[in-house]
Amino acid sequence: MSYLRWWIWVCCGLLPLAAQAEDYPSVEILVPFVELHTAPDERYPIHDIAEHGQQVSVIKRRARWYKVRTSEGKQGWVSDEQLRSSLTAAGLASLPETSSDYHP
Amino acid sequence: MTSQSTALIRRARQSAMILSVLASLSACSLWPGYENDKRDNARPLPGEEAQAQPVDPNLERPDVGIKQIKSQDYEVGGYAGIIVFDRNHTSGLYGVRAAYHKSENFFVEGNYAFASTVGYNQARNLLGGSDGADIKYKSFGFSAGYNLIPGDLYVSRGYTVPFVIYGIGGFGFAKFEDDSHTSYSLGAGLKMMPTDWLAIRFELRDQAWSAYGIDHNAEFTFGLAGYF
Repeated sequence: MSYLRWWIWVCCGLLPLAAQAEDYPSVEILVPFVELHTAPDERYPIHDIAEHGQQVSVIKRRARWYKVRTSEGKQGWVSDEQLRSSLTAAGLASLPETSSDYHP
Repeated sequence: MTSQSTALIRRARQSAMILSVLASLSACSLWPGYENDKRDNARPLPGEEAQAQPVDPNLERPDVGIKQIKSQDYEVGGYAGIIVFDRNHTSGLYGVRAAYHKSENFFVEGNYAFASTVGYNQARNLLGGSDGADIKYKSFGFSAGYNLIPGDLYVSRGYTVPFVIYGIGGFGFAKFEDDSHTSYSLGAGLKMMPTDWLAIRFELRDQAWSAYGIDHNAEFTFGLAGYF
């Protein structure tokens, strides 16, 4: 029981560190708009968009999808194809292109 | 006094005054800190500051940290469930697995599992029924999976739980009692993701190997996994 209490205290102590760690790179949307999906797959619903000129924070990447957060607090997953130009302009390493990528 | 002597005296006075003024000015230049005090109070002219401080050629490169995007391609977790050996004996099953998501649909996975009656018998006592079979079983394997049917569960107005039905299959090695077998597995599962770092998995898999005919061993498991 004392070990459990000790671990709870350790976890509580680490919480502020976890909060400080949220320092995400920010990029500007350079295409007319990007689609925010609910999960990292194009088959999941689009619940919002981020428009041209908006700054978004890139929280994480999974496979070829990026989780972003807009300045209004909206979160969603954007495909690598839609976010690639913004990442390149911001100097962030993007994934290598694939033959299936769509370039309008 | 003649006019000549008056002119000489006037020149002598003028020379003395000029010399005294020059001497006082040169003394001002020797006054320590005078120039600096004067410059501090004076407003700098445009470009004066740049000229006063030449560029140091030995500048160190500033530490410009480019923020990196955190990737979450790996899924690590554990699972527990039951295994039915050849439609005869049932036991508890515990295991761990690690997966790498190559794309949003395709993933590869490695797993290790063992059978135990620990926990299983207690559950059977609560629910009723016979105890599990005490069978020695260990297995490890490699699998490939594909996300077949994704969906979204709308829990509330601002909160959805994405889920996906996936198919999985692979091969591995199983040790059943004292015999070792090359095993093949095929199954399907449901993965729910209440947060973007947590996955809850329900899986049904047929673990088969060949020993006096093909033995089919059904695994029903419930697992938790985190994305890293």
